[in-house]
Amino acid sequence: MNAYFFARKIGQIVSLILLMVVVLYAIFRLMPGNPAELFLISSRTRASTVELKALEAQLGLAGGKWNFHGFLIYFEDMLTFNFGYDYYYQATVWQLLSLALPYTLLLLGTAAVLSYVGGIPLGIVATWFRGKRTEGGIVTSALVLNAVPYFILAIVLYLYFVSYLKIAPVRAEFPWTDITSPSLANFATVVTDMALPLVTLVVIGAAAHLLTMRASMVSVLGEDFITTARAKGVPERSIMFRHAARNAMIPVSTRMALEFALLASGAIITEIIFSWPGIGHLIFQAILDLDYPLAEGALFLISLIVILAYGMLDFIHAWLDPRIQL
Amino acid sequence: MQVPPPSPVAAVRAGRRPNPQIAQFKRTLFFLRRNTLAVIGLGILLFFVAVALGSFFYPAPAFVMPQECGTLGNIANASSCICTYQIGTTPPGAGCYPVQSVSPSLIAPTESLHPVSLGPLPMGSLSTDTGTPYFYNLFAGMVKGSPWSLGIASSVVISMSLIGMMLGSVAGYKGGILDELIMRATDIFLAIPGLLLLIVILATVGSLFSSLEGRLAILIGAFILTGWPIYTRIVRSQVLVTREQKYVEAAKASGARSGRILRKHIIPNSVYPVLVQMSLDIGTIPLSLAALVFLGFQIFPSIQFPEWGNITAESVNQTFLKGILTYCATDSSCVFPWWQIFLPGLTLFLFAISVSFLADGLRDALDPRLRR
Repeated sequence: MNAYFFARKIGQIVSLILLMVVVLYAIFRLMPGNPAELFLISSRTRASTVELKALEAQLGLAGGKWNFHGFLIYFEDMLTFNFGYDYYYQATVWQLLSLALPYTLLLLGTAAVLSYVGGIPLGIVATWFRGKRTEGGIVTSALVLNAVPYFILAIVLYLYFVSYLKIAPVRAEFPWTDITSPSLANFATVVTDMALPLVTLVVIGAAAHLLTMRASMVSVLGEDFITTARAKGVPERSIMFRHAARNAMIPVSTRMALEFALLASGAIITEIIFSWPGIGHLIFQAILDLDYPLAEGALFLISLIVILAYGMLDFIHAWLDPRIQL
Repeated sequence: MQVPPPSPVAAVRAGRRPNPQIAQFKRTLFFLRRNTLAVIGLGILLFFVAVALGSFFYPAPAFVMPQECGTLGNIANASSCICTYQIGTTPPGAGCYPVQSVSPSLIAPTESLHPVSLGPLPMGSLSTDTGTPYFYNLFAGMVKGSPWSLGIASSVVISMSLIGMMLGSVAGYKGGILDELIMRATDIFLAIPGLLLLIVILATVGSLFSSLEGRLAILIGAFILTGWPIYTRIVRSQVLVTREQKYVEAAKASGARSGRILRKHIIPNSVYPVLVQMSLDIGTIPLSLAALVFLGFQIFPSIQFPEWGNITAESVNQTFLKGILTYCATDSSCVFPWWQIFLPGLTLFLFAISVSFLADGLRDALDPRLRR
């Protein structure tokens, strides 16, 4: 580990975060109209003039749309994670996010784990049987599953299990305490509520991981250290699962960082179709409702998580492959 | 029966020196042809292209204004009516439309799209909700939509890859401050997940235009803005490898300027991973468009804009979002309008699978280690 590299990486991450704040500020100011006034006339809210003034002050709009003082207020709020009060839902942004986040983490976390557990070993098996019928079968079915339009898959699942068979709930309504106080009955509700969105996400995710893993396994198998391992008589199973798989995880770990973006933002379409009360649903509704405090706060938080996840990648790569020098 | 790959050796012996790029292309084609899946993918893709070309001679989809057949309790012509109502409400609900005059397997009674939730959002002006229900021939719509879909998807993918090649090669070759700037810009765009970024862009500038051309331009621009960073990163990492090659050194030694080295040596030799990424992306564009329209970001109604994704979303919205279940006057005539989901779904699926088979074959053909 090199101190110069470390400092450079930290500098990069910090400058990215600062830049991100500026970009998000510009995006939200580019939206037409005065957000506070638009918010006032939006149908679902009955905000008073006092609230409007408070909102303008909170959003830094008091001195017009593009004033420097407002930008400074915004900048400070974002960097201190002070996302303010949301007049739309009459709660602080943090309260809203902390209500939705566990749902998203539960669904997408489970989906990510299941799709890795399904996809990665199958990718290794597919490379093991290279040139045989098994490989053709696995790879072809992964390609087919990967091409299934997720959004239509979700709708077909919904129509069949919810509308037709009526065995799945119309809307996931389990209270969050169901998970924090574990019991068999609670577990059953969580599983039935989560089953359909989970299937949608896992089918698509596992196929993609399988293809990535297979491609990177094949290129790792051509490397010298594999030949060395073979020469010294390491059994094939050990070569595949220990030596090659660890190295082949590098491109897959890049995908995992991308997955962090999903973990934070939720799978918007899946959450909306299955009425899953997660972050993706919340942000989408916030953008539609011009709910600025919520949209700004949530987008900043997501991009922050993604930037940090990408920043970690270099260190993870170095851990996976000792040849990579930091 | 194993046919050996075409070798340049014979040609060189005969005194002809083949262009190395053409030789490489021929070799790629050879390995592509051996891959059954890739050939199937190419076949489906060519079929779509043929449909797109033929669609100009195909009659436009019929829009039939339905006559109401009365409310559910009081249906005028019982056997030929399909009634729709919202889940959770008791019939009679919305209108009933006659289905027998036209083949039910092709024609979906599609009401003009009702936006999900618009409020005072700028996107509100994007909906052209006339409130009139009409019959829409799905099959004719899909045929008519093929040039739109193929055109939009390929123009997006080609522009993304051109931008990526330009910025990525400059960043990778020049390095320094330029590299740093371009890469940080890609980081910013990559930090917001794709669909969310599309939504934010459309919500920000989506209401600038009201014409079909203007909205189409914004849509394509939004897709390009979301996709270019990946191409830039791919090209950059490829260029970092190629610029260390001997032939680049040779070109430099013979006094070539950096523009010429980039154009003649570096870009042509890093183009193949871009090709693979392009064929992976092109299949997802109609699907993303469908997702956008489904979420309420309607570009134009499918009468004027019969793009696959657009039709899919309108058709699916009708069966799903409005919570429609078919309710028929007599139980025997009760058919769930499965074709409304099946036909567009199948089209999107076939398109995506053709390009992903092709991409997989291309990757195998280009990378000698992956060849089976």
